Amino acid sequence: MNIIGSIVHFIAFDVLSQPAILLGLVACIGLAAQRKPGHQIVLGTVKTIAGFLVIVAGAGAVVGALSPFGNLVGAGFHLRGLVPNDEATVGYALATYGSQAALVFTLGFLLNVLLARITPFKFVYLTGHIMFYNAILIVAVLGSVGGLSGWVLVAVGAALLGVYSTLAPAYIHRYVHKATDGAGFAMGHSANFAAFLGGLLGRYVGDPKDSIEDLKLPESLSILRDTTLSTSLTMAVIYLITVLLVGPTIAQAEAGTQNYIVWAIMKGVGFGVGVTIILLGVRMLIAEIVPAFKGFSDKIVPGAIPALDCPTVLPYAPTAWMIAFIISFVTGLVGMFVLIGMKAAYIIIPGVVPHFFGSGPAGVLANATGGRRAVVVAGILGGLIITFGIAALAPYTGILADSGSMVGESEYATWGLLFAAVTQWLASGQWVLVAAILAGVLILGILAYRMMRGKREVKARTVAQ
Amino acid sequence: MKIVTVCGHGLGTGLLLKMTVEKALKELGVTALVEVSDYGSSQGIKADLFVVTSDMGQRFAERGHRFVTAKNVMDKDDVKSKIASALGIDVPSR
Repeated sequence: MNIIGSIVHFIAFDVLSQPAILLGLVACIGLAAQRKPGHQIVLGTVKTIAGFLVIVAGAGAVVGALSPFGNLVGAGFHLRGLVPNDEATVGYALATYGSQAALVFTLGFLLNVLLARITPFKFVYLTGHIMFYNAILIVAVLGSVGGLSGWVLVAVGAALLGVYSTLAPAYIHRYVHKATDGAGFAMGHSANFAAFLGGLLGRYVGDPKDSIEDLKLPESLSILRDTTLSTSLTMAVIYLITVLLVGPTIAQAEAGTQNYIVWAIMKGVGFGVGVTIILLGVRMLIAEIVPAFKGFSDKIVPGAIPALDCPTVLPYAPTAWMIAFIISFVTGLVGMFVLIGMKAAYIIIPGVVPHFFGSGPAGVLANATGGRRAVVVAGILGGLIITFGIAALAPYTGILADSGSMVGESEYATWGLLFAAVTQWLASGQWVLVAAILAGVLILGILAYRMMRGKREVKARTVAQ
Repeated sequence: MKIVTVCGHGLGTGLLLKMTVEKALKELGVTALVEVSDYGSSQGIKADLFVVTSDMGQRFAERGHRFVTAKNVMDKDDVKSKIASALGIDVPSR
């Protein structure tokens, strides 16, 4: 075998099949393109590679804390319970689909920038962690449900991610613009759909002058902003209630030699710790890649509107955010019992994080268009979507549901559900069903577009008169 | 000098704030190490200055850390003038 051939083989199959190295390379190129000094390039590259491995380690901790929970719920109630948490879910899939996800993440972003350059949708998705989660979700569904692999999987995944990332900030932007007094940024997050609904319904419900921000909330609620604490606490409570309900026999069998009450609390805290480790890894992973992406898009699309993480809208209406979150969480609790009553395939156990980040933004946008009454309705709607939508999504997500967790916000419960269901129907040859659904979505989209354009024309005419 | 930006998860919003702070520092001619942290762990971090989103202002005031707040994390000029006054730097006119 010649030396060049073996070197090419080594790079293509041994080095680049390591997702950590692949992402390290992306960071390295990005840092070099920004003309950073040599030591920063080296440090940034290593940080990215290490970040990926930290995520994988955290995912192991999460699975260790979650799988006994699945056993308890299965043995005790003959149900399958899922605790939605994006980090836990995607972290689990990374071991199987890391390389493809890394490629889809990078190529999807490049396509997003290209589309922002050549189409009227000038949005560049800068929420690196959500884009990364979306890439993993798309790849895991295309791979484990759709049966795609190799370059086809990467190409289809990147195309989907690129188009999605360009359109998702666009369809809610009028409300973000209103809620932030035209701060000049868009929102690109897995919470977009609920936020869109919040902004939309506020036009019909309530009055924007009747702002919920006049209300003062107790400071003790701020504990919820500490993710490690809130995740550990809620999971410990859920674990504790579960072992008490299934009884000592089943619980002690899972707990082994430890006292099952103490074991349950420690497992719950262990889940919060696992999520914290994944978050640390994601923080390290995106620290160099997002600035590189931003530098690139600034050059290619100078006037682009950055689509940002959802807490960027929080300072514009913090009370609306908290109220929508609390109402959404309570709705999720009620929804859980409804799912149990319906004997659903998967029971969605409400988590603090998806309800906080998933329904909070809906409150902010609803408050801007419809005031306090709209905030309350937005919280309920947000909670319903991420309970029943995610319960509907879970059976279509292939290996993701094996994590014992699930992605948790409204974009996944709506667009994600559509994508995953269509993928499965395509894979099982149900073309007519897929064609009918896609046609339905297309018609709805055109109708909505016409309605919005019609309204705008009426408004323009009224202004002209 | 070390400056730490903080948001709830220490992911997206904190990173955007970090990019804005770095740009502002460059214009002020200040060299500093800028890091991102989440709300929980930021309690145990020593820094010369924290830059946080405005909704967290009250909690940072209670901690007694030196901090400034930003409402719009992309608003470089706002962040720049606040950092400058917190660090006692004259903002170069122009």
